[in-house]
Amino acid sequence: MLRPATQTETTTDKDARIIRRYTNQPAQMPAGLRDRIEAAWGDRPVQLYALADLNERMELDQTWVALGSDHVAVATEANGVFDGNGKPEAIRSFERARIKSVRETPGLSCTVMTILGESHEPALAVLRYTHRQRRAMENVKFVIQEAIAGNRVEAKDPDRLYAESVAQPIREAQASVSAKRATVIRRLLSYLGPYRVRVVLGFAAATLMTVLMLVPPSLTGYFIDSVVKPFEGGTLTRAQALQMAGLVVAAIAALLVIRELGLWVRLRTLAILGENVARDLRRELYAHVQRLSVSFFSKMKTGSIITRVSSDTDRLWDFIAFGLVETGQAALMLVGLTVVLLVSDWQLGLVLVLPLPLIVWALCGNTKRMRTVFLRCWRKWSAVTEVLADTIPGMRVVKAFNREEQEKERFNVRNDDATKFFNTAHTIWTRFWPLLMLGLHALTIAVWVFAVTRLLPRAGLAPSLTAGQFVAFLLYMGMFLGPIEMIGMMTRMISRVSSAAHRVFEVLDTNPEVVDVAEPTRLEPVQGRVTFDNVTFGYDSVRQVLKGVSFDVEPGEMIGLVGPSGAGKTTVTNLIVRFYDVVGGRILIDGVDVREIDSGHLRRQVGVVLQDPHLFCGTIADNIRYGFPEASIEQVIDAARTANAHDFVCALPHGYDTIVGERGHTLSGGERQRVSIARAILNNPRILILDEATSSVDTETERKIQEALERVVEGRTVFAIAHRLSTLRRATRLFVIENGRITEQGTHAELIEKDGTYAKLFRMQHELHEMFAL
Amino acid sequence: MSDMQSATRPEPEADLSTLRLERRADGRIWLTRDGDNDPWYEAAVQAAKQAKNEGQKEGEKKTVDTDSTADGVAVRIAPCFPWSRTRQYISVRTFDGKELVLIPSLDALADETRRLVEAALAEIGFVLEMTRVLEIRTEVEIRNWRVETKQGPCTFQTKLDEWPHPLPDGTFVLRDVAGNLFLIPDPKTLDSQSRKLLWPFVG
Repeated sequence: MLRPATQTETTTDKDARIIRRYTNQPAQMPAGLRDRIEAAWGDRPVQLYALADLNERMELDQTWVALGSDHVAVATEANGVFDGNGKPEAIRSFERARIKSVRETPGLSCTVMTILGESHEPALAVLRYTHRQRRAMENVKFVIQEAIAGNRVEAKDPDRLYAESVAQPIREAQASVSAKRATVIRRLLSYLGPYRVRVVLGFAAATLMTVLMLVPPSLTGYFIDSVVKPFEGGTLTRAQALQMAGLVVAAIAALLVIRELGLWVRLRTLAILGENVARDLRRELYAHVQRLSVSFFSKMKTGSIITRVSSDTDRLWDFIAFGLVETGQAALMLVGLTVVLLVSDWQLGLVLVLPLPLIVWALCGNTKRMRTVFLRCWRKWSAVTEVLADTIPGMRVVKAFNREEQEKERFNVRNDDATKFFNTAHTIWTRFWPLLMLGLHALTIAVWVFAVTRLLPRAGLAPSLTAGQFVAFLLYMGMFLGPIEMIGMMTRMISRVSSAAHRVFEVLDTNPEVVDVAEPTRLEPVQGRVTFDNVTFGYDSVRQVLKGVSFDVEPGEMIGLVGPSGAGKTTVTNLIVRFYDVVGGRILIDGVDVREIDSGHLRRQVGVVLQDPHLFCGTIADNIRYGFPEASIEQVIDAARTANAHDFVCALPHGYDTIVGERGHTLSGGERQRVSIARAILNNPRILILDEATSSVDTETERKIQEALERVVEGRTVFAIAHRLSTLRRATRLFVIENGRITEQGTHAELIEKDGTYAKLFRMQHELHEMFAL
Repeated sequence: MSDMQSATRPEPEADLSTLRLERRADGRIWLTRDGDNDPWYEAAVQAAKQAKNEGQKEGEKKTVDTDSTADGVAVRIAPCFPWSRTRQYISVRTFDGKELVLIPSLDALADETRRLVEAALAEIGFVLEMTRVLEIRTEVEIRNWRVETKQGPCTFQTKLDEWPHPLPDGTFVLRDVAGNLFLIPDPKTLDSQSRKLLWPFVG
């Protein structure tokens, strides 16, 4: 599989692109400078670097700090140009062995990092930087500090680390570099491909409609000039006139019928087409979301993913069903009108056509102005909703402190403020439209004035304009407004649609990080031996959460994982089920590297019980067999019995048919926990992971869960994380994890004997327990 | 806990004019001894030692203590109210995060120490100060600002729902996606182009 390789490349490229586009700093350390630093170090490579973007006068500037295996270099240049050609810049290099500590003084927008040697000597380096450089600088600090503490961290690929760190805040806010609008729209249109016939049909109908609309005014003119006037002048008999009138009326009627038929075809074809494209996008999006690794969901907010699948695709439907074709129709109509008017009478035509660009310009200008006006309104409005979001969830606090009046006042001030701005906005747009209409009326008057002199020429001259032509003109004029308005709205529509398309494509363009090999091994069945071989892991590239963890767990052992929060306990369990891939070392299940194992197949044989279990919308029975739908009812009940859930389920009026989940029956925390235990053990997994399974329930419930757990751990390899050490009393071994390392391991008795961290924790909890028991 | 603190810290009414801070060659601020009987210094040394011992993690290599010498303790200055009371309630802390002194008001300090704290506060309170707005462009999910600041030209980004926060003196503070703060002066003092671009965001 070539994917992962190209993927890393594109992420770095993407980060570099973000840096080039959004910042004033280079996307990587200038090659010339890096060469010179490496030359100064005797060709040892730069392992990590960062930019300090403030100088000692607190001006924006560029100072690079580079870290090698044995050295640190600091390169400053006043004019900020490192092309490698100029005079050798001040590169100050010192040995890493001289560093005794790194100290940071954080400020509001500037952090000062001091690299210290012996306390009597001046600082080895003082670096000042804004928050944008903070991650990259913290990487440098981390590696130096780890080295001081005795752990060598070898950073690889400094360009990637630097680009990733600098681009990260921007990527988190936007998550992708905005491509050109045209590219995004083109990509969106490519989804129309499978529906080519419909597209052609819809657009043909729209074109036909537009062209047909141009005919009735001409017919009216013809009717006046060739029927009404000759009849009045006596050159046409009544019978002849009536016959011709009948033809004209019939033609107009036919046109109108055809037009509405066309409209029907257009609306139906394109609405359905748009819905299909939206469905395709949603399907692709949802399927892709399911394929993505766990890391994606920790980076992107749930709400954001939901919006992308639901309302963003809906917006795209709107564009394909209506926006696209209506814009096209408007443009076509404008062109058609222009041609017809100029051909039928170029002088009058010019009166109408010449000011056209001016009108479009005024409209676009107005749209832009309204955008800033509404931006201001939006800001005021968000201040109003902020108060709501603030107080409604905190209502009990408001009431407890008797602050209702003040809250009312706070809301009213902002509400009035927002209203003031909305009214300003209304004043502006209400002024514009009558003004624009007035301009158009002025054109009408101009046409009238101009036409009248030609309709009623001096005596002896033949009129150069007929009444029919004039009437046709007036009718055409009335048709101008609609398309012009449409064009005015186009810019806003395009920007909304491209944003929506952008957000959708962004998810589609994310690649899963954990990918199975081409021919994965299937362990049937898993025995349950779990081996960590010097595993290092970090959720980002430099900070390691696990720093060389090794252990070997026999099938059937129960391991208790103990340690402070953030020490890496949950990370260990995440790695066993391969939610993430290790950075260094390897994990073996039954002697096979997890990266070689079919991950789906593996996960079916691992049961997981989490602190706050999620139940899906459906019956309790469905929830229990969520991972194993083919399970029989007997198996479901068995699992529920083992999990101590059967009794409370039977006590419910709807028994196992009780609907739970968001809109269903609300189970208590302990009940949900027991359902989730039943779910985890239904498939008789060989490995069971219990992540704080009993931490959020009361003592009585804990006892019931504990009882259930003691039954389910029998004969399985179990990894249990717990803060309450009493829940781990059956563990065959305990691992104390601190700061990414296993610092103690052994049985309860051995660890108490050792009198280390575990013993301390145990005594503390014991004392607390006694206190509460009193 | 409270017993421990009163043991290591002088009484609140103790004379702050004997508190002595100096900037050393390493670029940091150090709390040093003022005369033979300086309660601040004695307390600081004790507190720093205690914090160091508590902070030392088990199983980790003992590192060289770079934050104290025979005649001083390296400290950090942390203002408690960086926006609303810039000259009051300044906390002097060790690099391990232990408070040594809480200065109720800068006026109580000796001249030299006061000037030093003022300079340190200026450094901590550093924010980029806008002098001119060149462009504000709305993109997908992000707003791109191109500005000139007192510190040099700068491009930064904010989220679309991030708005400048008004301050009592008519200026505004804006936070970018990286966490940097930008001070926008009273728009009245800016050129017309900047004012026009800022119009939707301030006032």
